[in-house]
Amino acid sequence: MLVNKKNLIPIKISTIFILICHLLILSCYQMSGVTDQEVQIQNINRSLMCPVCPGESIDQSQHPLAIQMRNLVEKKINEGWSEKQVIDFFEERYGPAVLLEPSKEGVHLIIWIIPIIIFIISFGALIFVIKSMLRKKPIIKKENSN
Amino acid sequence: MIVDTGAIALLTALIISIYSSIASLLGGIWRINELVTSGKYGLFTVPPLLAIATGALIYAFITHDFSVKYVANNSSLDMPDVYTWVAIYAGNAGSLLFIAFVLSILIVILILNTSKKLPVSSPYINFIASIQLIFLLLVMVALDNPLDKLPVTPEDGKGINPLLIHFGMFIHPPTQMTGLVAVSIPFSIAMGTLLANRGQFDDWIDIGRIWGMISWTILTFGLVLGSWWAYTILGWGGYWAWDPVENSALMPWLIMTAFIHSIMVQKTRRMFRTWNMILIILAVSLSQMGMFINRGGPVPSVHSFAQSTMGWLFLIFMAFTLLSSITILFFKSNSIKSKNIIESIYSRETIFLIQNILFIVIAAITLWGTIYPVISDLFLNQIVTVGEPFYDKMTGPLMLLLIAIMGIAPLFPWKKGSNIKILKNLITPAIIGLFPMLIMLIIGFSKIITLFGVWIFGVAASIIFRELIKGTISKNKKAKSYLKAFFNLLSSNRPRYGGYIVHLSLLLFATGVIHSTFYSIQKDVPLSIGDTAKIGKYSFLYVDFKSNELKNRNETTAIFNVSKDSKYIGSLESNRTFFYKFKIAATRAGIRSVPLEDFYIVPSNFSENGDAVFRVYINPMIWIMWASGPILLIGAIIAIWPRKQNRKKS
Repeated sequence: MLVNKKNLIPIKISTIFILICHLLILSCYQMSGVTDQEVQIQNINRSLMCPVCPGESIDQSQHPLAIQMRNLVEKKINEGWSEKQVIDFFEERYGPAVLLEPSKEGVHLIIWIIPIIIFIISFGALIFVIKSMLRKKPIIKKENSN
Repeated sequence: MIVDTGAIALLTALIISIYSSIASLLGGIWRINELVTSGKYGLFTVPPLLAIATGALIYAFITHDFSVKYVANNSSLDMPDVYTWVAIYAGNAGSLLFIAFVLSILIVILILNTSKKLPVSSPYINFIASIQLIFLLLVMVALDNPLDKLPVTPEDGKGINPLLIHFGMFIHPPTQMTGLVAVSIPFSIAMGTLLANRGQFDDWIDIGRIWGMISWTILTFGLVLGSWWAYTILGWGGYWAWDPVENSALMPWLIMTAFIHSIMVQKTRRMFRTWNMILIILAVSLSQMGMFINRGGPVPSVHSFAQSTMGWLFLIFMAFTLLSSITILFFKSNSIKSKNIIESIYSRETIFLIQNILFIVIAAITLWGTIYPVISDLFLNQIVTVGEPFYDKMTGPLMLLLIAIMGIAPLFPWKKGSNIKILKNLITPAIIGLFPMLIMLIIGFSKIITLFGVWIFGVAASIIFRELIKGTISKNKKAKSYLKAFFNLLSSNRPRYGGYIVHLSLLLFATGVIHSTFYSIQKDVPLSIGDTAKIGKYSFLYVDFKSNELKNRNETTAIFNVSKDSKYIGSLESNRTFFYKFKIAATRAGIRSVPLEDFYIVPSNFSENGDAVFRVYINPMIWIMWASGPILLIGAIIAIWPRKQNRKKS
């Protein structure tokens, strides 16, 4: 499978294909006409849970309360509040359940730490297993698996 | 009368299943063929019996027999007959009947498939499969019978949840449920083989792999159809929200994906036997948990259609499955020890193992996020929500890594590879992948993550294409036609080349996901009739508004003329329907979808003169995401297709 001249044909073909794909992707990028502030408001809306509609953020939900909350977010941002201030304001009002992304402070830090621990332990175990399997090598005689 | 017959059929099905499981097990242990055969025939009678029960339920729906509790709860006089199909699984009891019916049919196919090929394991396989059937039937008969009657017959039923009255509902939930329950079949094959002490013979691998692929494919389509439905019909604007129920369907899918790869290692190298057992046990437990979360699990979800208190039973059954399987595995683990070992880090085995671990880690993180609100509620007395941002941040990079591994995996040979060779083979694709990335950078795409993603997809795609093209060229000498050579190549190693096609479709899907995630535009615009608004290259004129008062609902439709770059491209309808009795509004987006991007418009509340706030999205590459579905299906069918001629060879 070494690179030699014969291999160049498939490579050329795949290059062209992939280039075409990506050119297509490129042409859909455009100026949006959505202001930065609108994007900021949308981001806040997406990180706040609608307290009365199960499983939906206030950005998604059409519930009157969600609409009311959306308007409030917009109002606060227009008044010059920062993103964090707005989110803290809602957290104080509705409790931590209103945050779609649990806080990275205090007890709930654990939700962010556990995945990292899962990752480290799993890959630690993987490396251990592979190493120990590789070490067995001399004991076992060659066997034809086919 | 017909309903009573159905109820009797259901009870009979339960009794026969119990008999069949005992007969299969004892027949297997004592090696009494007659007993095994009687168990088999017993299981053959279950689908017809459940068909009678289902038929009775359908009859009750169509005749509006509200003396049946389930019919009274899930339909009404004004429900059109076609929605009977949806009503059957709209509630807890009915969906149980649906799942049990599907499982019983799958079991019959399983028996026909395995009784000759795996004669020794077959009784045990039937035993394991029938236990799962018994559980479903028992829950129905004892606790929530779909054919139960009410003491007093109401005038009219409560009606079906209006969100379910949609075409999407005809296919997504049944596919998803079938996928979840189908995981039981490869599980039964694996566990049955283990119980029969046949684990070391690896004779179940081909059948187990095919059933694993089948359930994986159905699960995949359940997920994709759900996303498609949420996006195009529910007007959510998105296709995946990391909702608990979505997660609970994703987790078994993740583990099954690991399984269908890892089983290839067992097929080729007679290794990973215990590991494959663990994977299939995890997959089946997670699919049972999926059924638990969907049935009034502890986490709030947008999917809580079939709410009931039954959920906990599924959790208990899941614990039972998990514990008993692990115990069996523990006692039989010596019998399936493999003599083969990993000979090199640079081998397909290692790559598959790394991929497996990644899938498990992603599933574990998903599980953790899904159950954390419950843990917090129980132990910290605090209600929290774990939503999209958590999963995006935690699993996103891992998924990208998975795609990278998927890309380079074809470079790793079985047993032993050379790192220098692999690196050499990687250089060209890595450079090819850089081109599109550089072009994007020059044009002004600044988000590093998408640039990086595009590079990885490019590398992965070029490696697969190189494999396909090189293979075709080498077969061409014999076949004398490139097309024929290509088909010869596909059939020379179906699991492999079918897999490559699935991988290509996943790359398309991932391209759609990454671009729609990072370059989607959203805007809320208040409009009155006659107004025009602009977003990106699109401008849209609010032409007309129609309001239609019906008996049970109010349908409001807005009509838009959409132009792109000042050129008229068509008219779109965006609809909102309000159901009085349920106080639920269902929206339907107007979508203009082309391969490059979707223009998407969905209304919120209309005022009487048609004023409304419309949400408009421009979502890039979504069309490509959906288009990857059929390609995936083609690849999966190629990989599933059993080849008979080759049996003699192996």
